Amino acid sequence: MNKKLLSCLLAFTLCCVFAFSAAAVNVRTFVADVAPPFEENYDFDETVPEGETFVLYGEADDPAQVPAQAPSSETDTPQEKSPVKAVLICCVIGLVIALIVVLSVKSSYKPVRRRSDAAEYLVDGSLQVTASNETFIRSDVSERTIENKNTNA
Amino acid sequence: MAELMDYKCPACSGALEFDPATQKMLCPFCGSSYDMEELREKDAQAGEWTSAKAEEWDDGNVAVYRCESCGGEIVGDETTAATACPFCGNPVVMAGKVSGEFKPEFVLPFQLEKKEAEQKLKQYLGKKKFAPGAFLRENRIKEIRGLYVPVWLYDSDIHAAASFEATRKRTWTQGDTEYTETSYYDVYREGDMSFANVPVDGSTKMPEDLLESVEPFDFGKAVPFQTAYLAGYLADKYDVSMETGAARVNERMQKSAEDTLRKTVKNFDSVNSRSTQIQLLRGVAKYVLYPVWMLNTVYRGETYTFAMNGQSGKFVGNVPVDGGKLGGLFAGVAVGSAAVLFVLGKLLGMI
Repeated sequence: MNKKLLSCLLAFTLCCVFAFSAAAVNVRTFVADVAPPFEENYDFDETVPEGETFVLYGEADDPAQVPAQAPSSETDTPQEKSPVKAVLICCVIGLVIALIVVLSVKSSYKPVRRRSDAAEYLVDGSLQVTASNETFIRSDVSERTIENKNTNA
Repeated sequence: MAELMDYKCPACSGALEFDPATQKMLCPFCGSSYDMEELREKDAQAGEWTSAKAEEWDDGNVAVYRCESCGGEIVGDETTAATACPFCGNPVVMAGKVSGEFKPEFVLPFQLEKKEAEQKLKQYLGKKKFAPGAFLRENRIKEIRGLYVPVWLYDSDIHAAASFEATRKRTWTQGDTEYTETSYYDVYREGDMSFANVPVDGSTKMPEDLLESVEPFDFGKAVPFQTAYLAGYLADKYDVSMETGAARVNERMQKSAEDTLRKTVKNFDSVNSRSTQIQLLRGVAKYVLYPVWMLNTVYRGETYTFAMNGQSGKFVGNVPVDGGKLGGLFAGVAVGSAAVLFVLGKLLGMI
Protein backbone atom coordinates (compact mmCIF):
# COMPACT_ATOMS: atom_id res chain seq x y z
CA MET A 1 0.00 0.00 0.00
CA ASN A 2 2.75 2.42 1.00
CA LYS A 3 4.87 1.50 -1.99
CA LYS A 4 1.93 2.02 -4.33
CA LEU A 5 1.19 5.42 -2.86
CA LEU A 6 4.82 6.50 -3.11
CA SER A 7 5.11 5.25 -6.69
CA CYS A 8 1.92 7.10 -7.68
CA LEU A 9 3.19 10.29 -6.05
CA LEU A 10 6.53 10.02 -7.83
CA ALA A 11 4.94 9.24 -11.18
CA PHE A 12 2.48 12.13 -10.80
CA THR A 13 5.21 14.62 -9.89
CA LEU A 14 7.45 13.52 -12.73
CA CYS A 15 4.55 13.71 -15.21
CA CYS A 16 3.79 17.24 -14.02
CA VAL A 17 7.42 18.28 -14.44
CA PHE A 18 7.62 16.82 -17.94
CA ALA A 19 4.31 18.35 -18.93
CA PHE A 20 5.36 21.79 -17.70
CA SER A 21 8.77 21.44 -19.34
CA ALA A 22 7.21 20.45 -22.65
CA ALA A 23 4.68 23.28 -22.48
CA ALA A 24 7.38 25.82 -21.67
CA VAL A 25 9.59 24.61 -24.54
CA ASN A 26 6.68 24.79 -26.98
CA VAL A 27 5.76 28.33 -26.00
CA ARG A 28 9.35 29.49 -26.24
CA THR A 29 9.81 27.85 -29.64
CA PHE A 30 6.61 29.51 -30.94
CA VAL A 31 7.70 32.93 -29.69
CA ALA A 32 11.18 32.56 -31.18
CA ASP A 33 10.24 31.08 -34.56
CA VAL A 34 6.77 32.32 -35.51
CA ALA A 35 6.05 35.61 -33.82
CA PRO A 36 8.40 38.42 -34.96
CA PRO A 37 10.19 40.30 -32.22
CA PHE A 38 8.03 43.22 -31.17
CA GLU A 39 10.89 45.72 -30.86
CA GLU A 40 12.16 45.05 -34.37
CA ASN A 41 9.01 46.33 -36.12
CA TYR A 42 8.03 49.26 -34.01
CA ASP A 43 10.14 52.19 -32.98
CA PHE A 44 8.58 53.65 -29.89
CA ASP A 45 11.13 56.43 -29.62
CA GLU A 46 10.09 57.91 -32.97
CA THR A 47 7.62 60.77 -32.53
CA VAL A 48 4.85 61.13 -35.07
CA PRO A 49 4.61 64.68 -36.48
CA GLU A 50 1.28 66.43 -36.28
CA GLY A 51 -1.06 65.82 -39.17
CA GLU A 52 0.63 62.60 -40.15
CA THR A 53 -0.86 59.30 -39.48
CA PHE A 54 1.11 56.52 -38.06
CA VAL A 55 1.35 53.77 -40.58
CA LEU A 56 2.23 50.37 -39.59
CA TYR A 57 5.09 49.02 -41.62
CA GLY A 58 3.13 45.94 -42.38
CA GLU A 59 0.31 47.96 -43.92
CA ALA A 60 2.41 50.46 -45.93
CA ASP A 61 1.35 51.02 -49.50
CA ASP A 62 4.84 51.25 -50.77
CA PRO A 63 6.97 48.34 -49.84
CA ALA A 64 10.00 50.57 -50.32
CA GLN A 65 8.97 52.52 -47.23
CA VAL A 66 9.61 49.49 -45.18
CA PRO A 67 13.12 49.69 -43.93
CA ALA A 68 15.21 46.65 -44.47
CA GLN A 69 15.30 44.67 -41.30
CA ALA A 70 18.69 44.25 -39.88
CA PRO A 71 19.54 40.60 -39.54
CA SER A 72 18.95 39.67 -36.00
CA SER A 73 21.92 38.28 -34.23
CA GLU A 74 21.92 36.74 -30.78
CA THR A 75 25.37 38.06 -30.13
CA ASP A 76 24.31 41.61 -30.69
CA THR A 77 21.86 41.68 -27.81
CA PRO A 78 22.58 40.34 -24.35
CA GLN A 79 20.94 36.95 -23.76
CA GLU A 80 17.76 37.24 -21.72
CA LYS A 81 17.39 35.06 -18.64
CA SER A 82 14.15 33.13 -18.64
CA PRO A 83 12.57 32.83 -15.17
CA VAL A 84 10.34 29.98 -16.36
CA LYS A 85 13.36 27.94 -17.35
CA ALA A 86 15.05 28.76 -14.04
CA VAL A 87 11.99 27.68 -12.05
CA LEU A 88 11.79 24.44 -13.98
CA ILE A 89 15.48 23.70 -13.39
CA CYS A 90 15.03 24.45 -9.67
CA CYS A 91 12.00 22.14 -9.55
CA VAL A 92 13.84 19.30 -11.26
CA ILE A 93 16.86 19.65 -8.95
CA GLY A 94 14.47 19.86 -5.96
CA LEU A 95 12.76 16.64 -7.06
CA VAL A 96 16.06 14.84 -7.45
CA ILE A 97 17.17 16.00 -3.97
CA ALA A 98 13.81 14.90 -2.51
CA LEU A 99 14.09 11.52 -4.20
CA ILE A 100 17.58 10.97 -2.77
CA VAL A 101 16.43 12.02 0.72
CA VAL A 102 13.35 9.75 0.60
CA LEU A 103 15.34 6.75 -0.65
CA SER A 104 17.99 7.23 2.04
CA VAL A 105 15.31 7.53 4.75
CA LYS A 106 13.61 4.42 3.42
CA SER A 107 16.83 2.40 3.43
CA SER A 108 17.58 3.55 7.00
CA TYR A 109 14.32 1.86 8.04
CA LYS A 110 15.62 -1.47 6.76
CA PRO A 111 19.05 -1.80 8.38
CA VAL A 112 18.96 -5.59 8.61
CA ARG A 113 21.23 -6.95 5.92
CA ARG A 114 24.00 -9.46 5.41
CA ARG A 115 27.56 -8.31 5.77
CA SER A 116 29.64 -8.48 2.66
CA ASP A 117 33.06 -8.41 4.28
CA ALA A 118 35.05 -9.44 7.33
CA ALA A 119 37.22 -6.31 7.66
CA GLU A 120 36.62 -6.10 11.43
CA TYR A 121 38.21 -9.51 11.88
CA LEU A 122 41.38 -8.88 9.87
CA VAL A 123 44.30 -9.22 12.26
CA ASP A 124 46.13 -5.88 12.49
CA GLY A 125 49.52 -5.92 10.78
CA SER A 126 48.98 -9.38 9.34
CA LEU A 127 49.09 -8.27 5.70
CA GLN A 128 52.29 -9.13 3.88
CA VAL A 129 52.36 -8.22 0.20
CA THR A 130 54.31 -10.97 -1.57
CA ALA A 131 53.93 -9.83 -5.19
CA SER A 132 53.32 -6.43 -6.70
CA ASN A 133 53.20 -5.60 -10.39
CA GLU A 134 51.97 -2.61 -12.42
CA THR A 135 52.01 -2.96 -16.22
CA PHE A 136 51.32 -0.07 -18.58
CA ILE A 137 48.74 -1.08 -21.21
CA ARG A 138 47.85 1.96 -23.29
CA SER A 139 46.97 5.61 -23.14
CA ASP A 140 44.27 7.77 -24.74
CA VAL A 141 44.36 11.51 -25.27
CA SER A 142 41.14 13.49 -25.38
CA GLU A 143 40.89 17.19 -26.14
CA ARG A 144 38.39 19.86 -25.28
CA THR A 145 38.14 23.44 -26.46
CA ILE A 146 38.14 25.87 -23.59
CA GLU A 147 35.19 28.27 -23.79
CA ASN A 148 36.12 31.93 -23.58
CA LYS A 149 34.14 33.33 -20.67
CA ASN A 150 34.64 36.97 -21.76
CA THR A 151 32.72 36.66 -25.07
CA ASN A 152 30.00 39.11 -24.02
CA ALA A 153 32.38 41.64 -22.52
CA MET B 1 15.75 -40.25 28.97
CA ALA B 2 17.42 -36.87 28.65
CA GLU B 3 19.16 -34.94 31.33
CA LEU B 4 17.45 -31.73 32.32
CA MET B 5 19.53 -29.41 34.44
CA ASP B 6 18.32 -26.63 36.65
CA TYR B 7 20.19 -24.75 39.33
CA LYS B 8 18.45 -24.58 42.71
CA CYS B 9 19.38 -22.05 45.32
CA PRO B 10 20.92 -23.83 48.34
CA ALA B 11 19.26 -21.25 50.59
CA CYS B 12 15.63 -21.35 49.39
CA SER B 13 15.51 -23.94 46.56
CA GLY B 14 14.42 -21.28 44.09
CA ALA B 15 15.65 -21.53 40.52
CA LEU B 16 18.89 -19.64 39.96
CA GLU B 17 19.42 -17.50 36.89
CA PHE B 18 22.51 -15.92 35.39
CA ASP B 19 22.55 -12.19 36.18
CA PRO B 20 24.25 -10.07 33.45
CA ALA B 21 24.75 -7.09 35.78
CA THR B 22 26.82 -8.96 38.37
CA GLN B 23 27.97 -11.82 36.12
CA LYS B 24 26.89 -14.17 38.92
CA MET B 25 24.12 -16.70 39.47
CA LEU B 26 21.31 -14.92 41.25
CA CYS B 27 18.30 -16.27 43.10
CA PRO B 28 15.36 -14.03 42.21
CA PHE B 29 13.49 -15.25 45.28
CA CYS B 30 15.91 -14.75 48.20
CA GLY B 31 18.50 -12.54 46.48
CA SER B 32 21.43 -14.88 47.13
CA SER B 33 24.15 -14.77 44.53
CA TYR B 34 26.81 -17.31 43.67
CA ASP B 35 30.07 -16.83 41.90
CA MET B 36 30.47 -18.73 38.64
CA GLU B 37 33.77 -20.23 39.78
CA GLU B 38 32.13 -21.46 42.94
CA LEU B 39 29.44 -23.00 40.78
CA ARG B 40 31.99 -24.69 38.57
CA GLU B 41 33.44 -26.41 41.62
CA LYS B 42 30.01 -27.48 42.74
CA ASP B 43 29.26 -28.66 39.20
CA ALA B 44 32.08 -31.10 39.64
CA GLN B 45 30.55 -32.39 42.90
CA ALA B 46 27.44 -33.99 41.48
CA GLY B 47 24.49 -34.05 43.79
CA GLU B 48 24.82 -30.60 45.30
CA TRP B 49 22.96 -29.10 42.39
CA THR B 50 19.92 -30.53 40.74
CA SER B 51 20.68 -32.62 37.72
CA ALA B 52 17.67 -34.78 37.22
CA LYS B 53 16.87 -37.35 34.62
CA ALA B 54 13.74 -36.11 32.98
CA GLU B 55 11.27 -37.94 30.87
CA GLU B 56 11.68 -37.29 27.23
CA TRP B 57 9.99 -38.63 24.20
CA ASP B 58 10.67 -37.71 20.67
CA ASP B 59 7.90 -37.14 18.20
CA GLY B 60 9.66 -36.38 14.97
CA ASN B 61 11.35 -33.01 15.48
CA VAL B 62 9.64 -32.30 18.78
CA ALA B 63 11.09 -33.29 22.13
CA VAL B 64 8.89 -33.17 25.23
CA TYR B 65 10.35 -32.98 28.71
CA ARG B 66 8.76 -33.09 32.12
CA CYS B 67 9.63 -30.25 34.45
CA GLU B 68 11.19 -31.50 37.66
CA SER B 69 9.84 -28.54 39.54
CA CYS B 70 6.11 -28.63 38.73
CA GLY B 71 5.65 -31.65 36.50
CA GLY B 72 4.54 -29.54 33.55
CA GLU B 73 5.44 -30.42 30.01
CA ILE B 74 8.27 -28.54 28.38
CA VAL B 75 8.15 -28.78 24.63
CA GLY B 76 11.24 -28.08 22.60
CA ASP B 77 12.49 -29.02 19.19
CA GLU B 78 15.54 -31.08 18.42
CA THR B 79 17.86 -28.07 18.63
CA THR B 80 16.54 -26.53 21.87
CA ALA B 81 19.34 -26.52 24.42
CA ALA B 82 17.93 -24.23 27.11
CA THR B 83 14.47 -22.94 27.83
CA ALA B 84 12.01 -22.36 30.68
CA CYS B 85 9.00 -24.29 31.88
CA PRO B 86 5.92 -22.58 30.43
CA PHE B 87 3.98 -23.30 33.64
CA CYS B 88 6.31 -22.40 36.50
CA GLY B 89 9.01 -20.47 34.65
CA ASN B 90 11.69 -22.77 35.99
CA PRO B 91 14.77 -22.33 33.78
CA VAL B 92 16.10 -25.62 32.49
CA VAL B 93 19.03 -26.72 30.38
CA MET B 94 18.89 -29.81 28.21
CA ALA B 95 22.31 -31.03 29.17
CA GLY B 96 22.49 -33.54 26.32
CA LYS B 97 22.23 -30.73 23.78
CA VAL B 98 25.34 -28.99 25.07
CA SER B 99 27.59 -31.94 25.61
CA GLY B 100 29.84 -34.11 23.49
CA GLU B 101 30.20 -32.78 19.98
CA PHE B 102 27.61 -30.12 20.77
CA LYS B 103 29.48 -28.70 23.73
CA PRO B 104 30.51 -25.14 22.94
CA GLU B 105 34.12 -24.22 23.64
CA PHE B 106 33.25 -20.72 24.76
CA VAL B 107 30.28 -18.62 25.69
CA LEU B 108 29.95 -14.85 25.66
CA PRO B 109 27.80 -14.19 28.74
CA PHE B 110 24.98 -11.68 28.54
CA GLN B 111 26.08 -8.27 29.80
CA LEU B 112 22.82 -6.43 29.23
CA GLU B 113 19.52 -7.20 30.87
CA LYS B 114 16.01 -7.57 29.55
CA LYS B 115 14.94 -4.11 30.71
CA GLU B 116 17.80 -2.59 28.74
CA ALA B 117 16.53 -4.34 25.61
CA GLU B 118 13.07 -2.85 26.24
CA GLN B 119 14.57 0.63 26.67
CA LYS B 120 16.63 0.25 23.51
CA LEU B 121 13.51 -0.67 21.56
CA LYS B 122 11.74 2.45 22.82
CA GLN B 123 14.74 4.63 21.92
CA TYR B 124 15.04 2.95 18.55
CA LEU B 125 11.40 3.44 17.65
CA GLY B 126 11.45 6.98 19.06
CA LYS B 127 13.83 7.93 16.26
CA LYS B 128 11.66 6.41 13.56
CA LYS B 129 9.47 9.41 12.80
CA PHE B 130 8.31 8.03 9.47
CA ALA B 131 6.95 4.77 10.85
CA PRO B 132 3.14 4.47 10.84
CA GLY B 133 1.61 6.25 13.83
CA ALA B 134 -0.36 3.15 14.81
CA PHE B 135 2.84 1.08 14.81
CA LEU B 136 4.52 3.51 17.21
CA ARG B 137 1.49 4.15 19.43
CA GLU B 138 0.16 0.66 19.71
CA ASN B 139 3.51 -1.04 19.70
CA ARG B 140 3.28 -3.95 22.04
CA ILE B 141 6.22 -6.20 22.56
CA LYS B 142 4.86 -9.63 22.00
CA GLU B 143 7.92 -11.44 23.21
CA ILE B 144 11.43 -10.75 24.51
CA ARG B 145 13.84 -13.62 24.53
CA GLY B 146 17.43 -13.78 25.66
CA LEU B 147 18.91 -16.22 23.23
CA TYR B 148 22.31 -17.84 23.08
CA VAL B 149 22.92 -18.27 19.35
CA PRO B 150 25.25 -21.06 18.24
CA VAL B 151 28.04 -19.53 16.16
CA TRP B 152 31.08 -20.91 14.36
CA LEU B 153 34.17 -18.73 14.70
CA TYR B 154 36.81 -19.21 12.05
CA ASP B 155 40.49 -18.34 12.38
CA SER B 156 42.15 -18.37 8.98
CA ASP B 157 45.41 -17.54 7.30
CA ILE B 158 44.86 -16.91 3.63
CA HIS B 159 46.87 -16.19 0.53
CA ALA B 160 45.08 -13.79 -1.82
CA ALA B 161 45.77 -12.70 -5.38
CA ALA B 162 43.93 -9.85 -7.04
CA SER B 163 44.14 -8.04 -10.34
CA PHE B 164 42.88 -4.52 -10.97
CA GLU B 165 42.54 -2.09 -13.83
CA ALA B 166 43.90 1.29 -12.79
CA THR B 167 44.03 4.62 -14.57
CA ARG B 168 46.19 7.70 -14.19
CA LYS B 169 45.22 11.05 -15.71
CA ARG B 170 47.39 13.95 -16.85
CA THR B 171 45.93 17.23 -18.05
CA TRP B 172 47.60 20.15 -19.82
CA THR B 173 46.51 23.17 -21.87
CA GLN B 174 47.81 24.36 -25.19
CA GLY B 175 46.24 27.49 -26.65
CA ASP B 176 42.50 27.23 -26.16
CA THR B 177 42.54 23.44 -26.02
CA GLU B 178 42.71 21.30 -22.91
CA TYR B 179 44.24 17.87 -23.35
CA THR B 180 43.66 14.90 -21.01
CA GLU B 181 45.82 11.82 -21.25
CA THR B 182 44.42 8.70 -19.58
CA SER B 183 46.92 5.91 -19.05
CA TYR B 184 45.65 2.39 -18.34
CA TYR B 185 47.56 -0.10 -16.19
CA ASP B 186 47.17 -3.74 -15.26
CA VAL B 187 47.86 -3.98 -11.54
CA TYR B 188 48.49 -7.25 -9.75
CA ARG B 189 48.87 -7.89 -6.04
CA GLU B 190 49.46 -11.01 -3.97
CA GLY B 191 49.61 -11.18 -0.24
CA ASP B 192 49.11 -13.17 2.95
CA MET B 193 46.80 -12.08 5.72
CA SER B 194 45.09 -13.49 8.79
CA PHE B 195 41.53 -13.32 10.06
CA ALA B 196 40.49 -14.10 13.61
CA ASN B 197 37.09 -15.06 14.99
CA VAL B 198 35.01 -14.45 11.86
CA PRO B 199 31.50 -15.48 12.96
CA VAL B 200 29.02 -17.55 10.98
CA ASP B 201 25.49 -18.26 12.18
CA GLY B 202 25.26 -21.90 13.27
CA SER B 203 21.49 -21.98 13.61
CA THR B 204 18.89 -22.12 10.85
CA LYS B 205 16.36 -20.67 13.30
CA MET B 206 18.33 -17.44 13.71
CA PRO B 207 18.11 -15.21 10.60
CA GLU B 208 21.66 -14.80 9.32
CA ASP B 209 21.18 -11.16 8.29
CA LEU B 210 19.86 -10.28 11.76
CA LEU B 211 22.85 -11.82 13.54
CA GLU B 212 25.33 -10.19 11.16
CA SER B 213 23.58 -6.84 11.65
CA VAL B 214 24.30 -6.83 15.40
CA GLU B 215 27.99 -7.64 14.92
CA PRO B 216 30.63 -7.15 16.17
CA PHE B 217 30.89 -9.16 19.37
CA ASP B 218 33.94 -8.81 21.56
CA PHE B 219 35.41 -12.26 21.74
CA GLY B 220 37.92 -11.01 24.34
CA LYS B 221 35.12 -11.31 26.91
CA ALA B 222 34.36 -14.93 26.11
CA VAL B 223 34.69 -17.47 28.92
CA PRO B 224 35.02 -21.26 28.79
CA PHE B 225 31.57 -22.79 28.44
CA GLN B 226 29.63 -23.57 31.56
CA THR B 227 26.04 -24.82 31.49
CA ALA B 228 25.09 -22.42 34.26
CA TYR B 229 25.40 -19.43 31.91
CA LEU B 230 22.37 -20.73 30.04
CA ALA B 231 20.11 -20.69 33.10
CA GLY B 232 17.29 -18.23 32.53
CA TYR B 233 17.88 -17.96 28.79
CA LEU B 234 17.01 -19.81 25.64
CA ALA B 235 19.71 -21.63 23.76
CA ASP B 236 19.97 -23.74 20.66
CA LYS B 237 22.54 -26.25 19.56
CA TYR B 238 24.01 -25.80 16.10
CA ASP B 239 22.28 -27.31 13.09
CA VAL B 240 24.54 -25.72 10.47
CA SER B 241 27.73 -27.72 10.14
CA MET B 242 31.20 -26.22 10.31
CA GLU B 243 31.79 -27.18 6.66
CA THR B 244 28.60 -25.44 5.51
CA GLY B 245 29.52 -22.30 7.43
CA ALA B 246 32.98 -22.24 5.81
CA ALA B 247 31.46 -21.26 2.45
CA ARG B 248 29.99 -18.13 3.98
CA VAL B 249 33.18 -17.18 5.80
CA ASN B 250 35.20 -17.60 2.58
CA GLU B 251 32.80 -15.23 0.82
CA ARG B 252 33.35 -12.55 3.46
CA MET B 253 37.10 -13.05 3.63
CA GLN B 254 37.42 -12.84 -0.17
CA LYS B 255 35.73 -9.42 -0.19
CA SER B 256 37.97 -8.18 2.62
CA ALA B 257 41.09 -9.57 0.95
CA GLU B 258 40.19 -7.71 -2.24
CA ASP B 259 39.60 -4.46 -0.33
CA THR B 260 42.84 -4.86 1.61
CA LEU B 261 44.93 -5.49 -1.52
CA ARG B 262 43.18 -2.63 -3.30
CA LYS B 263 44.39 -0.26 -0.57
CA THR B 264 47.98 -1.12 -1.51
CA VAL B 265 47.37 0.20 -5.05
CA LYS B 266 48.32 3.84 -4.70
CA ASN B 267 49.01 6.88 -6.90
CA PHE B 268 46.24 6.06 -9.37
CA ASP B 269 43.12 8.09 -10.13
CA SER B 270 40.83 5.07 -10.35
CA VAL B 271 41.15 1.40 -9.43
CA ASN B 272 38.63 -1.22 -10.54
CA SER B 273 38.72 -4.84 -9.48
CA ARG B 274 38.95 -7.52 -12.15
CA SER B 275 39.32 -10.74 -10.19
CA THR B 276 40.26 -12.05 -6.76
CA GLN B 277 41.21 -15.52 -5.64
CA ILE B 278 41.89 -16.66 -2.12
CA GLN B 279 43.61 -19.78 -0.95
CA LEU B 280 43.13 -21.06 2.57
CA LEU B 281 46.49 -21.78 4.23
CA ARG B 282 45.20 -22.61 7.69
CA GLY B 283 41.70 -22.76 9.03
CA VAL B 284 40.44 -23.49 12.52
CA ALA B 285 36.85 -23.25 13.71
CA LYS B 286 35.49 -23.12 17.22
CA TYR B 287 31.95 -23.45 18.47
CA VAL B 288 30.73 -20.56 20.59
CA LEU B 289 27.45 -19.21 21.96
CA TYR B 290 26.69 -15.52 21.33
CA PRO B 291 24.18 -13.53 23.44
CA VAL B 292 21.33 -11.86 21.54
CA TRP B 293 18.12 -10.32 22.82
CA MET B 294 15.27 -10.99 20.39
CA LEU B 295 12.13 -8.86 20.49
CA ASN B 296 9.01 -9.51 18.46
CA THR B 297 6.18 -7.11 17.76
CA VAL B 298 3.12 -7.59 15.61
CA TYR B 299 1.63 -4.93 13.34
CA ARG B 300 -1.28 -5.64 11.00
CA GLY B 301 -0.71 -9.35 11.29
CA GLU B 302 2.96 -9.11 10.37
CA THR B 303 5.69 -9.94 12.87
CA TYR B 304 8.60 -7.53 13.16
CA THR B 305 11.71 -8.99 14.77
CA PHE B 306 14.33 -6.82 16.45
CA ALA B 307 17.67 -7.98 17.77
CA MET B 308 20.04 -6.51 20.31
CA ASN B 309 23.65 -7.50 20.82
CA GLY B 310 23.64 -8.85 24.40
CA GLN B 311 27.15 -7.48 24.90
CA SER B 312 27.35 -4.07 23.21
CA GLY B 313 23.65 -3.14 23.02
CA LYS B 314 23.72 -2.60 19.26
CA PHE B 315 20.07 -2.68 18.23
CA VAL B 316 18.64 -3.39 14.78
CA GLY B 317 15.33 -4.25 13.19
CA ASN B 318 13.32 -3.35 10.13
CA VAL B 319 10.51 -0.88 10.69
CA PRO B 320 7.55 -0.26 8.36
CA VAL B 321 7.40 3.12 6.64
CA ASP B 322 4.26 5.26 6.42
CA GLY B 323 3.70 6.09 2.72
CA GLY B 324 1.79 9.27 3.58
CA LYS B 325 4.55 10.61 5.84
CA LEU B 326 7.18 9.74 3.26
CA GLY B 327 5.13 11.45 0.55
CA GLY B 328 4.94 14.54 2.76
CA LEU B 329 8.69 14.46 3.25
CA PHE B 330 9.19 14.12 -0.51
CA ALA B 331 6.93 17.08 -1.28
CA GLY B 332 8.41 19.19 1.52
CA VAL B 333 12.00 18.58 0.51
CA ALA B 334 11.22 19.06 -3.20
CA VAL B 335 9.41 22.39 -2.68
CA GLY B 336 11.83 23.60 -0.01
CA SER B 337 14.99 22.82 -1.95
CA ALA B 338 13.52 24.25 -5.19
CA ALA B 339 12.64 27.48 -3.35
CA VAL B 340 16.08 27.71 -1.75
CA LEU B 341 17.76 27.12 -5.11
CA PHE B 342 15.57 29.77 -6.76
CA VAL B 343 16.32 32.36 -4.06
CA LEU B 344 20.04 31.54 -4.19
CA GLY B 345 19.99 31.89 -7.96
CA LYS B 346 18.30 35.28 -7.66
CA LEU B 347 20.75 36.48 -5.02
CA LEU B 348 23.74 35.36 -7.09
CA GLY B 349 22.28 36.96 -10.22
CA MET B 350 22.06 33.67 -12.07
CA ILE B 351 18.30 34.01 -12.64
